[in-house]
Amino acid sequence: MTDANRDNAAPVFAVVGHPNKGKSSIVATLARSSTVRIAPRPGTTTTADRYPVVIAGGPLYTLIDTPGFENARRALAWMREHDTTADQRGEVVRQFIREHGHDPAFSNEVELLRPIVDGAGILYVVDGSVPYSDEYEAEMEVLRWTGRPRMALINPIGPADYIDAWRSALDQYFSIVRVFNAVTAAFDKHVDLLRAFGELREAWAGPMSGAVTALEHDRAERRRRSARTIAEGLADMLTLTESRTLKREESSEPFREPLQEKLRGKLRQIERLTRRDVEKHYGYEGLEHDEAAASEDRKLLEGDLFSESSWVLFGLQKRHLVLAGAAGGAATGGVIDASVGGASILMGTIFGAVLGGGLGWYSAGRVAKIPTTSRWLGTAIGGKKLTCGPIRNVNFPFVVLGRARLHHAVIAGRNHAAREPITTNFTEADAGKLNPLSAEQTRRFSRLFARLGKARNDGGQLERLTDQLADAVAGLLGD
Amino acid sequence: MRVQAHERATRGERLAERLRLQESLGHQAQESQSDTGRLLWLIDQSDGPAIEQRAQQTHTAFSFAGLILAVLGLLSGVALGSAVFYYDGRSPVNIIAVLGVFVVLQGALLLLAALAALPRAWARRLPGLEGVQEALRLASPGRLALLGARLLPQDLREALLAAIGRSGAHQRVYGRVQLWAILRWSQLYAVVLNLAAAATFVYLVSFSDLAFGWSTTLKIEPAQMHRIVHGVALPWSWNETLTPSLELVERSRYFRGTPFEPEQRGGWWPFVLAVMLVYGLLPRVIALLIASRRLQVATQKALVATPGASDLLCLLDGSDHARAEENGDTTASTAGDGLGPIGSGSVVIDWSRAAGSSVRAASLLGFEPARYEPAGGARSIGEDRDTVERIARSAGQAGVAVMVKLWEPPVIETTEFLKALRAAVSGGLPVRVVPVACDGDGRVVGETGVLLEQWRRRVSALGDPWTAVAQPVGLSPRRQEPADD
Repeated sequence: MTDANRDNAAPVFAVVGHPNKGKSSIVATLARSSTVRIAPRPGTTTTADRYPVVIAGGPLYTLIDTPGFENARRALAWMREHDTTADQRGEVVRQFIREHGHDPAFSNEVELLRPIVDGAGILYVVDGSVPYSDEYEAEMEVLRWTGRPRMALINPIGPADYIDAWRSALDQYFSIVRVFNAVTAAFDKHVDLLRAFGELREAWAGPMSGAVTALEHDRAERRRRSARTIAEGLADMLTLTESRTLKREESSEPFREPLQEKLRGKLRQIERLTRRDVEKHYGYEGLEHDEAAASEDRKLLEGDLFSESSWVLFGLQKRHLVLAGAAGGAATGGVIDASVGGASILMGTIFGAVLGGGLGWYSAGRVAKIPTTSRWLGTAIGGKKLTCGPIRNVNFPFVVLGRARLHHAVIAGRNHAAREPITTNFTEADAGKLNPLSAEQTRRFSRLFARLGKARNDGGQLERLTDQLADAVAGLLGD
Repeated sequence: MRVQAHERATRGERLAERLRLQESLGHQAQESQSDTGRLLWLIDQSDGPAIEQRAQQTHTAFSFAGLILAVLGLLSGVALGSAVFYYDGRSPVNIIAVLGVFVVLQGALLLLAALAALPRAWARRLPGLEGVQEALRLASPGRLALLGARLLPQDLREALLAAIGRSGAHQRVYGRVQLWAILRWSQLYAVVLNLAAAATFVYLVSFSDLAFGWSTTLKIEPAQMHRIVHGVALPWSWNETLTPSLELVERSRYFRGTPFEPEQRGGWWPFVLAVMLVYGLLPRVIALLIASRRLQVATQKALVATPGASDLLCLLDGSDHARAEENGDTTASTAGDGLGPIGSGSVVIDWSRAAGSSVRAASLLGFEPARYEPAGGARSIGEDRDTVERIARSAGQAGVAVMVKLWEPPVIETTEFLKALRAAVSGGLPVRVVPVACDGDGRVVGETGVLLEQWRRRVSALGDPWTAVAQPVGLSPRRQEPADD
């Protein structure tokens, strides 16, 4: 391929370095692919594998995961033996690849250098948590010989910090040196890094700028879809009921608790499915959700929807509950006022607000009780119907929303290099502070929740309210 | 001092245990007339107190593997005999096919087995022969024993695979033992196969009415065929009843689609049986005896070359190696690999400035090295080559310690250096790879356990039992001192 052709194509970057320094993690994160093989032992990557980043049909850029240098000094020695002039060094590297294509002693060097001489930019990865060593100099020198645009990424795998020493050394070989933790880096860091890729070569600036814009749009779209999924889950949960028909002579008491448990089970299932869908929106499928093996911080996320700790952590505080209860009650009372054409002189709204506020006060920190009613089906059928739900507790939708927001924050902040089960860095104290709702937001959500609860038999209204809820949730799911 | 005294005591116990075990297995080997007894001692010697039980399990597993091969040989022999001597009254058993299977094919297979067994030095002289040998060894029926291991109970299977695995990891010393063990299994298989084929033949001759003839597309006249048959029968030419006459050869010729007279053509069977015993069975019995003898010799050679054998010999001679330890200041960084201690007579190679200086190397190792040589890192390949040559000239008997950074994974460059070092120094000189766990400021870098396992796996893959990874240094705060440069 000629240089002109290369310029028109999406940029290609070969991620190279010493074995076991996080090359595959960098590729997984920047290519947003969970299919990249990542292992704690060296030698997992044995061939150069391409990972194109495709959005809206076209590749934005391609990353190539390569095996680590194994014999760099010897390769450099061979190249020096065949050196003529500086302008011919790229050709010497090509000659090295040709002559050692089947030499097992240089299989890794050949595999990683081949895409570079074919036109890929170089992303050289080092581990900033281990000391700098002069054994890396042969690798860096070999890369310099290729004459290709190159950049160094310091990927601190462990807790120790040797970044300054690495930076001093890398500055001598690379025009751009960045610190980038493949596992923890936030999205804005990804974007910064992609912009830096564009600085490596003038011809790549345009494509990489376009790639950044496309990725930001893609990110916003994923957030919007997640908000819609959460809103639909909330609407389902707020309107869900569970019923059972009993014979006339049967007592409803023995069936009450099993029916309530069945409803709780379905609510939990809706939450689980909602989470799976959100994970899919961000490209994660089959993430581990093993509650039994959960660590303490993970239990915060994986804990049961109806556990007391969940309600304390994710539910509204007392004053917000009063506010929410009052807003919800007022919305309900307002419907009565409207139905009598204002003859009630807003008494419905006032009573509704007072009653709702009182209920909010009462329900603070308490797990929702599930209302269960029993209704006669008439003499022709000769039985009665026991119905559980929907849950009217003021706090319930806020608990669901809080949990959904935390889950979304974890998933949106997760990188594809992370292979461990979902974890959060939130403490219990943090959970309560997570995106605290303003009074206005509390009122808005309360009104929407109250109206959703009442619209369960009106499909059109339910759809409209779900749309409004999705917009409101989208406003909460910032990066 | 107390620590050193404790180590000496532990070491003494370990050697005494080995001695006791060797005696035990020696008796066992004598009783069972088995080479595996010695082999077991070799491959299990460092496994501590449970060794006797494991050795017994491995011995049983090896016997089972042999039995599996014998059963396979039996089944194959019966199948082969039934196929070659198949007769349904329409066409006679073709003597040409019998000669093809029991003379030509057997001879060719035996030749291939001989090729596979050729010493390495001979194989190197012929280009491509080493590759052929490797392919032949992979295709050897003896390897069926490993497949058959799946049928064994779990403990026996693990014992057998551990033994074979360990042999693989110590290819340099045990390579010939492993080769001859597999070849012996192959010959055992072949002997049983030929016996079973011969027994099937005798059964068919005794209890059915076989008829023989000869037929070929080639232009062979009866007189020529008689000469061929006569040639084949040369080993037993003193007994004329075992050699078909010209008249029988002439009468036995048949063509497909033409009738033949079976009642006159049964006179071939003594000749056929002699062919099977002399060309099929006899060479395989001889090959089995040779393979058994070679396995015995290889086992004895491996015993001498096994790390730790010198300790045992010293103990048997009453010149305990521990005495030497008392005279020298050795470090505690030895592992239970039988290579002995790293002591003050050792040469230290500082790979890629893992220690950084001779002073720090001495501090980390706990002794003054006899010689300190930097290698790897920013140095050139030529400088490393010179280093290896210098060490080859000056290394004593105390061995070489190669200090490496524990947190940097081993790469081909490192293992190539270790190979070059081994090629330059004597075969039995201990080379200890000593991982340094801390940086120049004494801070431990990375997760020691995971990193150490990487080094052990890679060094073990060299197949050299005299090169091993020692315990990391630099983990203990009292040994951590800042680099002096």
